Amino acid sequence: MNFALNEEQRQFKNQFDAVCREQIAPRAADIDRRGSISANNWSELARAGYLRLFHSQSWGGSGADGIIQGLAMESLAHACASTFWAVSISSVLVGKLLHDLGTPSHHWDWLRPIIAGLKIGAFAATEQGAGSDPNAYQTMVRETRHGLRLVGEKTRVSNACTADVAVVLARNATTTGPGLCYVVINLQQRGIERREIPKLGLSGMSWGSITFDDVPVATEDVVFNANMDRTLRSVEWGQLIQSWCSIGLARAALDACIDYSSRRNAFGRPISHLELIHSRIADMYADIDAARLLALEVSWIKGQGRAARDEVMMAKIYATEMATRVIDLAMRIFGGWGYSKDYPIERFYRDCLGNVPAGLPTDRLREFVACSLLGADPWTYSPFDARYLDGARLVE
Amino acid sequence: MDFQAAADRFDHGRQFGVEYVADSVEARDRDALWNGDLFRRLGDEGILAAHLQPEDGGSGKPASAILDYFQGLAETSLDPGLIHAVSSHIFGCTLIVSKFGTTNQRRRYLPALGSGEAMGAWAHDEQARPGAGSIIRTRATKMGQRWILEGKKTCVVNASFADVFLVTAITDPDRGPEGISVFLVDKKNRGCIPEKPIVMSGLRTASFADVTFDRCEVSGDNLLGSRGNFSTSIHAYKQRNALATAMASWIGIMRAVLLRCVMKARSHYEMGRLATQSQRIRVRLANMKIELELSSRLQHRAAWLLDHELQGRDRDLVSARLFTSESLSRFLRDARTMVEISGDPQLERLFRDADAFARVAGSTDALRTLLGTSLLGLS
Repeated sequence: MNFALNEEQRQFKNQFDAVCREQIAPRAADIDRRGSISANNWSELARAGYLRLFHSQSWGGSGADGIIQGLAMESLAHACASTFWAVSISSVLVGKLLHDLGTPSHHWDWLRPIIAGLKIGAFAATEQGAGSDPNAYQTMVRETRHGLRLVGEKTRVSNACTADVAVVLARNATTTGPGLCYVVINLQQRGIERREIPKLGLSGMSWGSITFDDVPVATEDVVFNANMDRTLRSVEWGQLIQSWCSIGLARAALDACIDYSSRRNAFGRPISHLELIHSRIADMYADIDAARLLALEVSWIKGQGRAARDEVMMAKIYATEMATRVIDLAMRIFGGWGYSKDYPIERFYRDCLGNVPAGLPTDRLREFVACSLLGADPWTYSPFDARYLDGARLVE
Repeated sequence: MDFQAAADRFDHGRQFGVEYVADSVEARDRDALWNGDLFRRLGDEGILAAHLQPEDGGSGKPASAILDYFQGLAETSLDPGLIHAVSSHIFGCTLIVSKFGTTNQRRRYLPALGSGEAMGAWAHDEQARPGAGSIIRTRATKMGQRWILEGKKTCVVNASFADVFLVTAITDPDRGPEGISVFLVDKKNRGCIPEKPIVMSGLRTASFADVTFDRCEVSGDNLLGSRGNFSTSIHAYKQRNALATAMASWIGIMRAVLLRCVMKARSHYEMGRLATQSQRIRVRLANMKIELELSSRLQHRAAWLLDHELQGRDRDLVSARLFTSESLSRFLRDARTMVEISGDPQLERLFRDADAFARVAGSTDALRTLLGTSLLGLS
């Protein structure tokens, strides 16, 4: 093990931190107010090489090591969580899905333009009545006399209204057999309707529903063997995105608290002299530190092309919930100003919450972690049986 | 930066724990017994001298090798008391003599400390005095070529069985913190008086006692290194060692406790079904696993930082120590609820040990002050 950055990693971090600090962060509040991401952010991140970090040179990427990938995600999330989400869902999660599951023609048509920042991708899995239980998905690919058709509605999709292409997780209702499949679908075609869903945070990122009304699908755009294992492996990238988003936001809140408590006076001196502030700052730092070290390890593993199932689930559970605690502490350090839009804490507060349920909620992930220890099946539950209360009940 | 782990880091410690320690730990805990044979056997294994340089009779291994050994030993022996005592001997005495001792002092003390023939103790803490800037009140007064020590140290680990004490004392009262020096004091020195062992509710396989220095006379050769070097160099070195090493054995304990809780869940029924089907129990086990994995990584990093003596990374050491202490509390809280469903005397003992450790190893609030003021640019 080596816990010091090498020269290449240090150099990249310095350069990319500067891009995020000087170009992305100053726009974050405006992006949040307007509810859309500046086109400049996409082009500047493409120029700075962020979109290419996660992919091999053969597809236009730069093939950076996992540590550099992790540092870059942290820095971008620190600067603007909305931008980080939108850009990373497209270039990292959808890029990896297309790379791992798609055909060479998907790589040419979609992966390369996404890596170049010319196209935007979305991953459409959850539905109105189904989130972490994919067996309940209703959206399906079915056979007709005129070929394959995609029918159904996906909802709570990141980049829903801005994406050019979506990878859709759907039920396979063709004669090739039951189960789930992936569909790579151009979103600029008839039969597709998209709508925004109002949300609490990450305001700059589009998030909404996509309806598929008998949309024609070419057979080569369907990946039929979307088993759960393969899906979870791809979703690891999404969970890593949520982990880094949380860590970046928590660090941004900590930095803001250090700055604020050194300038804000009470009782004749800066509040940084108060013992409780020392304790809160220390707790925030230690909690972020723990999440960051695990997330760096996950990034390192993923950067080597390996699965990191347990590690990434633990990173996501801890980091996303940690950020909500840390930013809540930041709110208290800022007092009433934490609630004001004059300071960024309220935005961090709203932005961090979405990471907890995204890409499988943390409570669901805990069951995967525990079942892996117990050798139990996380997909089956016995119904509640009131007989085992032995007659105990509350009388109303 | 990379995370390539070395294989089999913990195996030797695990093996020693199974072969020599685990069988007797319950009886030693019950009777509050320190076992000198186990200590000497660790000396025979080369653990007590592992980190010393070859010229001092050691094998020059990095600190992380010893901490890995402790993790493995803790996991199978479930004896944090023994490891606390051995760790105090190595990191609180032997390594300090090795680092700051004169050639004569190293020749005189290290062979016995490294082999386990002699046991060392760090005698520093004293009863707090309201309003005092420094907690140290023990004085060393120069009389010709000799020093006279006067004072009392509290809750010294290994005090009842130590052959050598490293004692902090004020040599130059008008120089403030820079007037504190460290002395090597042999147990046989007249006036060096370990008091009755302190009866603890946990860590009972280690030994704690106050030590009084009543006109204890030592020669000028017993001043460790140079006069007034406690605050300028020894304190920082000792503090780094303590931050990086204190929690190592608890990672092994956490690993063992988690395994026991998993086994319990597999055989215990709750609400008419196996506990493995209970979402509540699954959530607790997942939380315990996460606490273990996060703490384990921070402790590996702390050991690595100790090995590489990197400057400017002390915040990482404090952060690791603070997080792991709090993480251990959360971990044990979940473990306790698992034990409540079926009882386990060994786990009950470990809970007592953890409570005792939290008291003797120093308050996490002090760590918060250290870390918080550093981040805020106040220290």
